[in-house]
Amino acid sequence: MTSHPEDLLSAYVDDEISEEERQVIEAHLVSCESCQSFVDELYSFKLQMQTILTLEQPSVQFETRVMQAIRQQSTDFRTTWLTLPLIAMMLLSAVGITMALMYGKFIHGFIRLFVAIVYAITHMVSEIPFVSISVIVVSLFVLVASIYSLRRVLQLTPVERG
Amino acid sequence: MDEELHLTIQHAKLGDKEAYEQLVTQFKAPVYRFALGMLNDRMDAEDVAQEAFVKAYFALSNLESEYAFSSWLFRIVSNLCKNRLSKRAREREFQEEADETIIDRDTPDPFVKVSMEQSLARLSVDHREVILLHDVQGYRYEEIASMLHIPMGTVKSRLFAARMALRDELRKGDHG
Repeated sequence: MTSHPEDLLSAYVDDEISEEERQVIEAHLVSCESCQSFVDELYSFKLQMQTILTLEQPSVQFETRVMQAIRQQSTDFRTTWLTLPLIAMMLLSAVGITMALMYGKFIHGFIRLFVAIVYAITHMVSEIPFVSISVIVVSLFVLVASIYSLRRVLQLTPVERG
Repeated sequence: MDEELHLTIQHAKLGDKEAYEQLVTQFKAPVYRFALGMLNDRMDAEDVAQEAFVKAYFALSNLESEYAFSSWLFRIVSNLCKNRLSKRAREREFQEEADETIIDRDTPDPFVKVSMEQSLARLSVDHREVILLHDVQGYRYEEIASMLHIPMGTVKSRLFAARMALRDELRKGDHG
């Protein structure tokens, strides 16, 4: 091998190459001082990197702080889930009340119109005697016919069952 | 992964806070060291490591396999570190715009011999990340590839490039 396989040497140091590549590299290293020196350097880097941060430790209260933050966020989460439906219900109630007020005005207007019509009709009926007598006669006829029909229905029902 | 750890992760997934606290105890040092290597600041590293554990707790139900917990956790902390570095860069830009005469603290003094820690801090984020995951945390190429969603060949070439950059940084100091 005439060229220096530096990129492969990095993977060689990490033991991330195939067996075939290993054999080729090891044969090259025997005859190439610069590559052997590079491999030694890479091993040295790796070793230094492995030890560089080993003395570094997080604070003693690390777990306590993490668990406090988790509890706090869990409470916030629950509060949010309780608050959201309440807000939704309040909004719905507000919308309902507004709608009721709007329709209330409409119903109120309708009732006033109905009362006015009834008042006008009764006034007309009382003003013309013929109409009032006719209304009374028709009303009595309807009443008698209704009573008669009701009695027929009440008498016929047990006979049909028998 | 030993059976006990597997069970602890399972319990934590079901919402057992005590089990999760055990996981924090077990993983706090490697997570903190990774964050420190990425951010080169103890307070920021502590802050990000804590944030990672809190985030992981609430996302634990998304963890598909208990066996992937460690690499999943490192993916979270790595993303948080990158976010923090981006925030720092934005703040620095803003600061520089506000005061044009500001001294660039990151410009290395060529006459001062740099340590391994300083050289690591001067590498690009991607290079720092692969070196920390591989050399410090001991993950294999395949695991790093899956963690960072990149091909294994990219891990191999990135790690090689990172080491070359590290060597250049150390040599700069030697020449001074």
